[in-house]
Amino acid sequence: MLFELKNVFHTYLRGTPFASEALHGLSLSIPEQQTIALVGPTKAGKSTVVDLLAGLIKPAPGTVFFEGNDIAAKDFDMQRIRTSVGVVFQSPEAQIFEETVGKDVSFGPRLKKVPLAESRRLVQESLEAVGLPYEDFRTRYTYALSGGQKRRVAIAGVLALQPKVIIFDEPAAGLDPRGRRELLALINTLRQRHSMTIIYVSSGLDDVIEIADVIHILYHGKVAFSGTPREILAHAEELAAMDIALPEATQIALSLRDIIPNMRTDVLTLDELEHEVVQMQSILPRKSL
Amino acid sequence: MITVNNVTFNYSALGDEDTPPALKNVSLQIGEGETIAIIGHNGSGKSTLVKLLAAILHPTQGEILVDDMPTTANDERLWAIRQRVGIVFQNPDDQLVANTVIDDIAFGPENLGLPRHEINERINEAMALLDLESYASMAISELSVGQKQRVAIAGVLAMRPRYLLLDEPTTMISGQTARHLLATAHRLAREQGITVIHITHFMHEVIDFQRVIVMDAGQVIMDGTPVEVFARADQLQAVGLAVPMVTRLGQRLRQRGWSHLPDVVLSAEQLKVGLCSLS
Repeated sequence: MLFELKNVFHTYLRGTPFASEALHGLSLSIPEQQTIALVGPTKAGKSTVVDLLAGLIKPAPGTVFFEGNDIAAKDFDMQRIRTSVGVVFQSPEAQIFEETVGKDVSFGPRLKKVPLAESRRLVQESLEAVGLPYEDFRTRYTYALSGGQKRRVAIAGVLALQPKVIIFDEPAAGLDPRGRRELLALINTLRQRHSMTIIYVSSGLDDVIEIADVIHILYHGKVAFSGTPREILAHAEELAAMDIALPEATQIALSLRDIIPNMRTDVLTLDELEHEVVQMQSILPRKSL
Repeated sequence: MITVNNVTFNYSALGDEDTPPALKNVSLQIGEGETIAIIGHNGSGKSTLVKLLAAILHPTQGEILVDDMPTTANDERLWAIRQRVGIVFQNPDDQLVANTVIDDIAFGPENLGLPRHEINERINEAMALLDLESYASMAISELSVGQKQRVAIAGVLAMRPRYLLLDEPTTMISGQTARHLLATAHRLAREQGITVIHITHFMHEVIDFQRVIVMDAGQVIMDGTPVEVFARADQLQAVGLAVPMVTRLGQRLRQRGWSHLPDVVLSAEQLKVGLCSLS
């Protein structure tokens, strides 16, 4: 197991009148080489979990194990987490600061004093991995890139640090449907071709049902329930009450329960939704609404 | 009335080379009190159009008239345009300037040099419209993104604009907050006669607007009611946009012979009514 969080609490500004509890007895585990989604409404504790997994904060109280080691142990080096886990924060394009694409992506390797030839190879591989041809993009000015390209450059910058795990915090926010599809395909490639562990954080289920192996629903600082995309969507009513955005097919299915009380909500695609409606045709009420 | 007259805009005039024009020969008329949604994928020119309407950018060719005043005017008419056309950006942090809610909303009217009582009147009105009264003395830094978004809109409304431009205001907030924000925008149009122009990627947000403008590669490729626009599903798909799933489901069920359904189903409510009436 890569990460194991056991009964973790976290309070911001502890001991002050402004203290606010972000995590309240949260437990979850993250196995290697899977795509794990953490989904919850605002203030569910998502960002605090991201900070924990990135090694930026420690639980108090509670236990976090990284590769089987308690991170609170005296001899545990937090650097181990920080070199293994890369974080693509929300609107990562805002973190680009160098003049050219090549310089920006090589910032991490340079900081780690990676030899020049090696750094060059890392930059090339990272750019190719996000679908930006190295020779074409290396010398491009970062300010002249499109929004989607900037997001890719920012992700390449994280890849160049060779993490085993990447945390994506709301990566699809602000992207149009095409950009969103491309990003999800990229994340799938990273997992499959580069054997990475992906942690995908989001306030909605729309993206994650397409790529996640397991989804954890966070609510009020703990895990409300967990499961595969299909298992999670069966809880549509509870999810809607938590203000978690549902995928379109599930939204429609949930709404159809007004006239088809047994309508299934665990439909992943339009095809499945259509099939369900056709199945239910015979039981439709025989009067106008 | 805003008239966009054969407008082309090229960012290269600002020093960037080899970029195709962001807008090409766009002509539009926007009437008072209309509610308009503008959709299109990234780079289609939507944000450029809105910045041109707000006189933040000037056309490379053609002209834009806001209530008969050209946006290129360099005199008091420019101030009049700035006051009449209010813009709310995607990220409210880009436009909040003061420390507290009330100070931020006051910023615009104070700079108009209005008498104190009128400033207060405008602040109170704007706060009431956005349900912000209980937040008046709160620090901006303590607000959530959705709350900040409302403060940004209140600050714009305190200028008493005739046109409210919303540049992707719902990308950073949750579903419930987004629905509340759009309901407020529709109410402003209905009760105050303000023209609302909303830019979005989300198709489901479009159905409540009177008019939908679809942009692609710097041009307006469709302009009509939601029903008219969503009837052209194939063409939307060709430019990287998808019609709402409920509309596609309606089409598929019609093809299966459920002909009682409307040609273009816009909402789950319509679908339910259609399904019930056919059995």
